[in-house]
Amino acid sequence: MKINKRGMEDVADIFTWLFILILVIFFFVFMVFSDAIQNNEVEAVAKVSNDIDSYNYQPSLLAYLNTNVEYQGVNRSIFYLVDEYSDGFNDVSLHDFLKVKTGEIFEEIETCSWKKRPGSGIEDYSRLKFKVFVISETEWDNIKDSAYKKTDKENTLYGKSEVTRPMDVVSVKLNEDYVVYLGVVYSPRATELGKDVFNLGCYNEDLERKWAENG
Amino acid sequence: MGFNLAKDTTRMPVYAVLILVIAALLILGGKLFYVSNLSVGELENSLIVSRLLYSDDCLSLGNGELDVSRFNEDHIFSCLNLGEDYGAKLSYYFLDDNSTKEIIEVDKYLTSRCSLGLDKDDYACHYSEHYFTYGERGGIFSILISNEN
Repeated sequence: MKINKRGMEDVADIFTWLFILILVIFFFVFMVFSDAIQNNEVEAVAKVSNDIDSYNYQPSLLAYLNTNVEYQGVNRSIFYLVDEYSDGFNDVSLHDFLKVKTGEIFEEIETCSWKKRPGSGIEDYSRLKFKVFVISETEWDNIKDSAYKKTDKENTLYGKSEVTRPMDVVSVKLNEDYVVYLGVVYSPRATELGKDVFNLGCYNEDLERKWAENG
Repeated sequence: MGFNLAKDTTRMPVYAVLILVIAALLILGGKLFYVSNLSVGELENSLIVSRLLYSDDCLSLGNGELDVSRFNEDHIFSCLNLGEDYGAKLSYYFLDDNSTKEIIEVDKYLTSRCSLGLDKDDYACHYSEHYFTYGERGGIFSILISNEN
């Protein structure tokens, strides 16, 4: 079989271009996969950061439940009173008392709690709001992953009774049927509120008072 | 038997290597930029807050109780073991007496960047407040942490 010079040049061209094409495809695949890994890392870091921030409120929930208060002349822990209230949820005076005591504590800790939303920009600091509610574990499992709305079985002791976005929560089991949840909720961004998070000055006494007074 | 290939064909491997070198430089440069943007400052700040609230080497007595009798500079410095890139402003007061506020500040320059609104991509600020008990009293523990990203 006789191959002329022109034919050999064409074959060499084809092999060279094939070689370049394979290398380019290899680099492209490498780039895409390495970027995918990088994105996963960023998301994982953001999620861990968010989870830890939420779990950091567990001591606050424990401290709240262990706080002793005087109700009807008897000194008892809030845990004991919430447990009593969960028996039917129909003791209105106990419910009102618990709402007042819970509000005194959680209104205070909202004053200076700010968090940058994961993956957001500099101006995206949001004030954290809290919600304390009592609900069965099964009921919470049913609603936690959907756009969250209050259910008839939920009993709110603090915070907006209706929240339309999922929340990060920490919890303490109350008894066999119910769990006390502390939900961490992002309020509108500081910029949406027309406020500058830094100049609110959580650590500037005068401005801090102004912020507390003006909500 | 021998062949004399055209000049263009013989240069193709050189072009191929050049293209790959340029592509590699672009990808490596891009990755370097991307990795430098992988900020873990907020996560580190959250871990410091966890140490304060959970570790009995710091202030925790368990069940949300904080031993504020150990709230002094020496103890906080040793338990947090903050590097030079960190600033912290910690304070607490009791709800039955919020006029008396105990404050510890580590590296005022670093924390003032947060208070003054000098928030840039190269450092992260963390603000949070936590309810705690100490004996029969309840109080609020405020935390501001600033660190270099």
